[in-house]
Amino acid sequence: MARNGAVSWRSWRTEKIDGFDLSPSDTEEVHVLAVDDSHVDRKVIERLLRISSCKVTAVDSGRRALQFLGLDEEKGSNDFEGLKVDLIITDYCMPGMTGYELLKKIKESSAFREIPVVIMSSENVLARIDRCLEEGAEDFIVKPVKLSDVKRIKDYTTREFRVGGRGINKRKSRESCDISSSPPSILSSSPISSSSSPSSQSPSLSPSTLSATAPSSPSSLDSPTRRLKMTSSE
Amino acid sequence: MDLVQLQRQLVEYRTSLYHEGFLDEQFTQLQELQDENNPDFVVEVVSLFFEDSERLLNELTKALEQQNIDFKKVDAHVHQLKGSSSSIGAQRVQRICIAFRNYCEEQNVQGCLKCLQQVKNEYSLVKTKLEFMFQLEQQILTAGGSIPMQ
Repeated sequence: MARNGAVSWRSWRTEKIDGFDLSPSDTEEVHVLAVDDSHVDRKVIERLLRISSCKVTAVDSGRRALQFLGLDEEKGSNDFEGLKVDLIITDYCMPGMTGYELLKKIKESSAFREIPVVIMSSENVLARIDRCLEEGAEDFIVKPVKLSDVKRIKDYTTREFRVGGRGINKRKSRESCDISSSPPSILSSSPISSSSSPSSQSPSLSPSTLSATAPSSPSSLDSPTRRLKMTSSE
Repeated sequence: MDLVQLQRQLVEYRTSLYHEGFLDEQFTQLQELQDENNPDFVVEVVSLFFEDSERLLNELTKALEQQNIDFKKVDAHVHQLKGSSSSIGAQRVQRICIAFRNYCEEQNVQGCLKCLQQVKNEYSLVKTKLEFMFQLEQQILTAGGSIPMQ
């Protein structure tokens, strides 16, 4: 099931990324890096993730997140410490480095740009959501975070979603119900079927071809704004 | 009071907190995250909320006492308080914070001072009520019973 997908996706990553010792220890559990300056929120997100069978590392700033990943300029970019990270979930409003700035730094990094990044915010601002999605965030969760949100984002690490296209489960308000993802064909023009195993993917068909961070402007079908307009009830 | 009475009292008390708007469904969500392996989760999160809130309320008081009020700073503190109260389901505190932020945006000193007082009151109320509720829970556990869910 999803488990097999996770393991084979990781071994594809191992082949692709040179020079990084991706430890084979316990590749079954998803490891999430959670970033939030609020102590209360860190505790809650940690519990939500653990109850969803994820390993969690919770840090209180973007800077610490980058340090953990080994991207902090002062520490040197190849200083990879700690466990491999499968997903990053970060608050948007943080002193120092915002979640958006953290997102950009991660997407600019050749080593880490493929890690799915989810943004959380207490503010349901369409322009903000758009900006984050365009920068390559997988999803945007409006706080307070619930178990159903965590269950959904966990899918980003185990499903071959990058092949089949991104889901459009974007929460826009506390009241709005989850919008189930539309068929991949709306978002992705990739010929790769969602059931193909990652090992048959050519590394050149990296997720960036499907991501909105490509330098050329996204096609109208791919536009996050269009997706949101399709589903927005505002 | 015997165990059954205690349990009934707890359920009634907790229900009233929801009806009166002190708590919302996010609090329920937190309770659902608690289990035998993490029996103190809710108390721990709420304790963090108390710590955070007290710090923020102090900061807000100081900031609003200044000759030249830094509204951005005030707003930043209120934003944090709004966030943490939302995360534990302390609805009435959260709602005052929303009004508070509007006054910050308008740079309305009187409005801010009024909201500060209101938020202190609401915080004090919800703290007292949650502590009482936790006490009831502890009494039930000490009496050998289990905490009834709604």
